[in-house]
This record gives sequence, C-alpha cells and structure tokens, in this order.
Amino acid sequence: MGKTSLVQRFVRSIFSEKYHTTIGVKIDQKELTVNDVEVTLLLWDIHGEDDFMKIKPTYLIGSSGYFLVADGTRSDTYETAIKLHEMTSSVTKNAAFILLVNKADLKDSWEITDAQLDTLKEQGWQIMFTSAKTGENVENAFAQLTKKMLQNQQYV
Amino acid sequence: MSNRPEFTEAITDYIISKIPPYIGLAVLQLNEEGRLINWMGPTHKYLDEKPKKEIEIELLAPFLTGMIPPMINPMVLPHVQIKTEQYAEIHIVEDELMHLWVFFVDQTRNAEKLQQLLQEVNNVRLKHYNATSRSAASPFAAFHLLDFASFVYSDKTYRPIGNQPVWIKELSQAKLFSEDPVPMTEIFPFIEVFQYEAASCWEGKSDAKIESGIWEEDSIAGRKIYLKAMAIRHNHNNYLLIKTVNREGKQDNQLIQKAREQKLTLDQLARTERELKKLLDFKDQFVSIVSHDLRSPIGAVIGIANLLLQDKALLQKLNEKQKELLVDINDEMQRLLDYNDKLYHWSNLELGNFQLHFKSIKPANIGKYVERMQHIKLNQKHIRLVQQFETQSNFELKADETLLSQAINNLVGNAVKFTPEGGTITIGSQINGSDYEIYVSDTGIGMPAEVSNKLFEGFNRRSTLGTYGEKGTGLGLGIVKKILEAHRFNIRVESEIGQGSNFIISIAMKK
Repeated sequence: MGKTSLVQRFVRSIFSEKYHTTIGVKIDQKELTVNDVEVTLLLWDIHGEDDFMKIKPTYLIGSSGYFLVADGTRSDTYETAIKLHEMTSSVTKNAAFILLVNKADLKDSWEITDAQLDTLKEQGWQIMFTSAKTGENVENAFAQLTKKMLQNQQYV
Repeated sequence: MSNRPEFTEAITDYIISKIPPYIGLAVLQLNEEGRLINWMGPTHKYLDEKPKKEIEIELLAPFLTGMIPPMINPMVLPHVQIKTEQYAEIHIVEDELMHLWVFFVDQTRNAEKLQQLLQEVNNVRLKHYNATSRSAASPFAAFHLLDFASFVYSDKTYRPIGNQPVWIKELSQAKLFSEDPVPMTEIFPFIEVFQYEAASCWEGKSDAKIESGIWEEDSIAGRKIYLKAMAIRHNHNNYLLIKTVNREGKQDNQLIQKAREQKLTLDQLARTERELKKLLDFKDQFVSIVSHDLRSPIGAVIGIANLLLQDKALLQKLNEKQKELLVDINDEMQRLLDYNDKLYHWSNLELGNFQLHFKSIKPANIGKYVERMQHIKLNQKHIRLVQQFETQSNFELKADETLLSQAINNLVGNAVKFTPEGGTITIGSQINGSDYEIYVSDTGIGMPAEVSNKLFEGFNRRSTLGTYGEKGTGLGLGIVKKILEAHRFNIRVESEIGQGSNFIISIAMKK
C-alpha cells in the first residue's frame, strides 16, 4: 500500500521504488508545528494485514490517531481498510483517523472508484489522496491528522 | 552495570513462563515514575546510550514513549525494529511493587527469516495480482484467446495484462516475459522504433489506435514468427497489443512499414535540415554584421596610408625600405578591404539579402565597367583587354546590372590574376543555339580538369597564387555562382593547363 514509503517521505523526504516487506513495527519520530502548537509525533509503521501476519491490537493501544492506507491501484486494499477500521477504532477507542488512498501519481490506473470512496465519506470518513512517490499531500495528511488529534485532546 | 536487579516473585514467574530462553535478553527496572533503577544484560544491543540511574526511560529509549506505564499489563510488542538491523520482542510488566520491568528479547534472526519469506510471497502475489486480478478489469484481459499478448504502458514500462498467448512460449526470448516490468524493447527492438509512432496515439486526449508493420522474430524451433503491434489509447490508459500474423499479409504490410520508416527518416531529416539552415543563417548574419562593421576601420587605415604616401615631405625623410613598408601597408589593407567586401557580399547573398532589379542592359556597358575596375591591374601586367560583344541579334538582356557587372568583374579579376604579363583577356557575347552567352577568356596558365570540375563548389580554400603572386580570397567564384543562380543563368568553364581558360555564362533566350 505504501505505508512505509509514506513515513519515509514524511520523516526523511525520501522515496524508493523498491518494495520491502515490513515486519512487525518500526517506530519513527518527527516534530512539526500545527496551529502554533509544537508536536512530536511518534510514528508506528505497522506491517500489512494479511493471512500470514495479523495486526496485533497491542500495537494500537494508546495511539492518539492513525492512518488507514489503501492502494488506489488495488481494489482489494479498500476492503482490507474497512475491515481494519472495525478493529482499530475499538482498540484505540475512536482515536482520530484518516483514510489515505495512496499512489495518486497513478490515478489513471486506479481500481478504487469514486463511488466506493463516496460511500465511506457518507459514513463520516475523512479521505485524502497521497503519493509517497511525488510527495503529493503527504505533509498535509500528517498535519491534518495532527490537528484532529489535538482537537480530540482539546489543545485547539 | 549496577547490582543485579531483584526480581519479585511475580516477575520471576513471568520470566519463567513468558520470556523465551535467549542469550540476548536485556532487562530494565523502572520506578513508578518511569526512571531507571537497575538494568542487566546486553542493553547496548537495544539502546544507543549507556543506562544511568534515575534517567527517564523516554530519554534512554525514545521508542518506549507513551508505553510507560503500559495500558495493559503485561504489554507485549513482538518484532519491534529498534535499530536498522535489530529487532526485539519487548515485554513491559508492572510488578506488585508498582515497579516496571522492560524485557528485550532479541528477535533479529527470526525477523530476518520472516522478512525473506514474506518478501518472496508478496513479490509473487503482487506479480500475480498485476497480471490477473488487476488486469481482469482491463478491456484486454481475455485477448490472449485471440492470440494477442497485451500490455499496459505506463511510466515508460510495459506490464502484462491477462494470460499470455501460446506463441510467446515459442519465442527464443520467452523467459524475459516473466519479468515485471517486461523489457519490451530488449525483447523486440522493433518496438523501440514503433514507440516513436505510438507516442502520437498515447499522448492524445481521446481514444485512438495505431498499427505497426510486420516484423519477424526467431522461434526456439528455428522457424520465423511474424508479428504485428497495435498501440491503443483507451479511457486515458495506454496499451500495447502484439499478435502473430501469417505470411500472406507480409508483403503489403512490409511496404507499409517501409514507407512508414522512410517517412520517419524523412521527417527527421527535414527537422535536421531546418536546424542546420538556422545555424547557417546565423553564421551568415554574423559574417554580414562583422564584415560591414570592419569596412570603416579598414577604410580609415587605407586613407591614412594614402595620405602618408602623398606626403612628399615625409617621403623624403624615409629610406627605401621604409617607403616599401608604407606601400605594403596600403596594398595589404586594400587587399583586406577587398576581401572584406567579398565576405560581406557573400554573406548577404547567402542570406538572400538582396533584391534583383531586372532591367534591359547593354552588355557593352558591363564591359566598360569591368575595364574601369581592372585597368590598374591590367596596366601593371601589360595585359590587353579585348571586348567583343555581338550586336547582330535582337536579344534583350535582362538582368540586375550591378550584380551581373560584379560577377563578370570577378571573372575578369581572376583572369588577370592567372594571365602572365603581356597576355590577353577577352570579354564578349555570342549566340549559341538557344542561348545567349557572355564569355571571359584569357591566355593564362589554365587549370587541370580536377580543378575546373570543382571550381564552383562552395569555398575554395586552396586559392592558387596568381602569376604575380597575387593572393585570392577563395570567395570570388562562389559569389559569381550565387549571383548567376539568382538570375537563373548557368556558368561553365573550359580550360587546359597552359592553354588559358574560358568562362561562359549561358542565358536562355525566351521566345
């Protein structure tokens, strides 16, 4: 889906075409300022959900917010994101979240349709299109999620 | 390392039951405020700094931020990538004294094996997905049933759609089709050429297609396979379809393909020609500007030299050598001026910066003009100038008098250069069949055929010295040719070594 690529783009401003499967969780840190509030984000890049590795709830406990990442060019990731949301929202007790549909640079080849995304928007999902490859909307996505987390914590 | 931590009974039970027996086990003991009390084991594997008493755990291990105290007890986090090549299972346990224990169990080897295995699985899965699941939505997913090999073209790469037709396996490069992306131009060099045409289809805004000609490839069995490609743009996506064709259609399509290739070559040549013309025009403009600007300073030096040569008082003070030098200055500057003038004329002729002003002219007037221009040099070499312009015909010569006079003057100037002392130069005109001819003949040294045949080809850098050592510019005959071409007149030369030369300008007499 590009989760690791998104984090690398945000934290280190780098992108690699090479696909490297994530095992377990990798923790990174990044500081940013949102609405004049200095925030240090601890980013947990968690492995993908599949038949071989299920995401452990312990990875999610205590998180203030999360991204669900789908790959616009693969329709099955849309279904996976919906399934994951059911688990994550209950474990994190409705922490702030945004669905990122990644690979916006390949929009011409997308399988996830506007109709599918509209369905989620009607359910109150915030959806953003990103590209870890080009950097499109990546910083904005993290800024938006941070704002939502701060709102939840009533700093804003 | 501090004193060995004292495990409580609960912690001891936990270690025995939950912590896998492993050498790489490191333990941190924290107080209820999250500050380090004690530690043991290879902490350097998991921490960047040496543990110190009372240090806040989040300063020592930033990745533990937010986990102390744990939200659930115990909290177990497997496969945490602590460093680039260090994975650990982290256990965070609160004991009955409200002390916190952090256990690090080295999982690096386990994670590496898992990573390799999952990487392979995911690579295959993604490749399969790209070939089938994703491409199932493509309009060409089932085209292998019609013997098409289908590919989506994106980001200058080709990715297969659907299954492969049977003939792919017969190709000698069959194995390369299993790569993702498919190295298409490596497999079919023909496609590299076809891509150039396909670009016009793929870069369009609406649906379109373009077909290639037929090309042949070798099969594993040694026979030829004939293929044809189609570039398609559909719903803002680009595709390449390749199919086998039978030989009967080969001839016509080969012609089409040849014609296409020739057109491509011609287009490229036309582009190159346009670019070359631009460069040539620039060169000529530059020369025109420079030669124009040089006229004044050269003229000034000549003027000064002439003044000095006319100053009798000064000349009396100079010795013979000094007088000679003054004369040389004047002669050389005069020659430079002449050269510069030719350069200026040449560049302007090349640029087409002239307009022909056609009018009826009398060739005899040209004769008089040339005689005036050349009389000094003629006298110096005692060369006789004879004028033989015919007067019998009613032919009315129409030309640009200035330019034609300049051209004939150049020819006569050359004749003077290559005619020895006491020789004869004849300028005249005659009727020769349907042509009116103006000629310039001399009794000079003549030239061999290999020289006369190439006389009017561009610049002549091998300018020959005249009989008096006169130096040429290499431009004169080029200017003559340009002027005559502009008039649509022809010129030829008849010459033999030792027999002189005869330059003939032919003008078609219109009825």
